[in-house]
Amino acid sequence: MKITNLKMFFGLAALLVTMAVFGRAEAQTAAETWQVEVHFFSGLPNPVFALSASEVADVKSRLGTAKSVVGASANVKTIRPAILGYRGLTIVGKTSDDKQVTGDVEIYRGKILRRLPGPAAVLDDSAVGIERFLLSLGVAKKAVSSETMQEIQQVLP
Amino acid sequence: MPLAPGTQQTNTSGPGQLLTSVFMNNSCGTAASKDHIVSSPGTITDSLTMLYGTFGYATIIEGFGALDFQYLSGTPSTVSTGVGTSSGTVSGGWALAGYGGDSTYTSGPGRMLFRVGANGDARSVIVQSKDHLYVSAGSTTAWWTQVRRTPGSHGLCNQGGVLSAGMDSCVASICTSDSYCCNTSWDAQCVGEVSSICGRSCANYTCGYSSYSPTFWNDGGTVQLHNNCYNYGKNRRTDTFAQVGRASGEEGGTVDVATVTKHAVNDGLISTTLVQGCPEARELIAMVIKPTSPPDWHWYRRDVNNYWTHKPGSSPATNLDNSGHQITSPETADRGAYTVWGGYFCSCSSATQGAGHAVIN
Repeated sequence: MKITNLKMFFGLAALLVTMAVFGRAEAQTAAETWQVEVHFFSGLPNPVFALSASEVADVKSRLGTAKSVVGASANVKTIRPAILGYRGLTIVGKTSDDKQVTGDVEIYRGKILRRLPGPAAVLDDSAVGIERFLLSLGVAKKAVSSETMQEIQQVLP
Repeated sequence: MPLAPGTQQTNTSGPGQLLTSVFMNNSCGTAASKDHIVSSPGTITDSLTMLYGTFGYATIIEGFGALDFQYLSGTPSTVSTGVGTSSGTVSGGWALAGYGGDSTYTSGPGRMLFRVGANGDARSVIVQSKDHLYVSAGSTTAWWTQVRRTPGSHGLCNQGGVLSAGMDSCVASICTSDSYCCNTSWDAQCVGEVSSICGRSCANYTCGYSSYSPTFWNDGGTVQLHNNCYNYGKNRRTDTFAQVGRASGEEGGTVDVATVTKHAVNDGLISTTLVQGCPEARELIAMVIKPTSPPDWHWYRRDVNNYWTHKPGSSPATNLDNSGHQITSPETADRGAYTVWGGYFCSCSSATQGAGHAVIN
C-alpha cells in the first residue's frame, strides 16, 4: 500500500513537472521570434526567414539532444569561415519585445556553436540534422532558391 | 561660365505667345517667343541653369576637377513650309549637359518649335519646328551644351599636375602668392594653402590609403553584420549593407560586369587598369562577379602594404582567399564561385578605418 501511494505521488509529481516545463516552454516559444540567416552572398543581402513557434520548439529540441564535440572549445568567436560562398547559418532568437536574446546559434557543415539557449557548447549536428532541416525550411518558405540550395548541398557533409 | 537652358515661360493676356528660340551660345542664353496670326502682346522670361559655381566664376569640383564646356549647334535646316529638322551629336569624350533650339522665318507668319530634346539617348539632340495654318519658310537649328573634365585637372585638395588660375578663384589666389602651384606642380604645400589662403577645408576630400585592421570591422556586432564587401572595399562604414548604385539611385538590375560597373561609376568610382593605377592618392579596389545563378558581386581593396583584403558579406574581414592564402592579387586569388573578373577601380579611401570618402548607401 505504501509503495503504491509512493508511486502515485512520484507519478503525479512527474506529471506536474512535465506540464509545468512544457507549458512554460510553449509560453516562451509563443513570445519569441527566431530568425535564420543563410550566409551565402557577399554583396547582395543574404536569405533570411523566420521560424514558426512549432519550428522553434523543434530546433530547441534538436539542440537539446545534440551531443557535444569532444575537445571543441565553445570559447570561440565563430565556427563559420570568412570565405566566398556558403558560410553557414546563424539563428538569432529574441523575445517579442526585442529586449532579450533567447537564441544565438551558428551552424556550419555539421557543427553547431550554441551560445543560447543553454550553456555555450560546440555540438555535433550529424545526428540531429538542424542544418539540413533549416535549409529545407528556407526553401519551403521561398527564402532560399533551389539554385542556392543546390550549391550549398555540394559542400554539406 | 557653364550654363544650360533652364526654364522659359511666356506670359500674355491674349491668345498666346509661343516659343521660337531657346538655346545657349558662348555663355549667353537666348529665349524668344512670338504671337501667331492674332496679335497677343506679352513677355518672356528666361531662367538659366548654372552647371556649377558662383555666377561669373569658374569652380573646381572636388573629387572631379575643372569643367570644360562647349556650346555647339547643328546644321540649320531650311524649308519653305512644313517640318524643319536639325540634329547634332555629342563629341566623343564629352557629355550632354543641356540642349536648345532656334527657329527663324523669312516669309509668312512664323514657325514654332515643337520638339527640343535628346534623340533617343544622351548622345544626340534633335530640334524640330513647323509653320501653322499658313505657309511660312524658315530655318531650324539644334543647339547643345556639352561638358567634360578639363584634361589633367584635379581637385584642389589632391596633389597632381599644375592647375590653371582660370579654373577656380582659389587657384588664382594661391598662384598669386605661390606660383609653383601653377607652374610646376600642385604639391602638398598647394593643398595646404587651400585652407590657409582660401579658407576652405579639405577634410572631406583628401584621399588616403587604408590598412588591414580587422578589429574595427570584426566586432561580431553592428559593424561586422551590417557592412559588406562594398563597405569594406570602399572603406566606408554605413551600417546599411551598402548596395552598388543605391546612393546614386540605380540599385539592382542584372548582376553582370557591365551593370555593376555602371552603378559603381555612378557611385563615384573611377574605372582603371592595374598599370594605370590611381591618381590623387586614391586606393585601388577590384570587383568580381559570381556568374552562376544566383549571381552576386564582391569587392577587394589593396591596403597600404600592397596586399589585398576583403570582407565576404557579413562575415569578418580577412586577408586570406578561399584557399587560406594571403592575397597578392585578386586576379589570381582563389575566389570560389566568383570566377568572372570585373576590373579595377579607384576609390577615395582614408587612413582611418570606415572613414573613406565614398558616397554609398
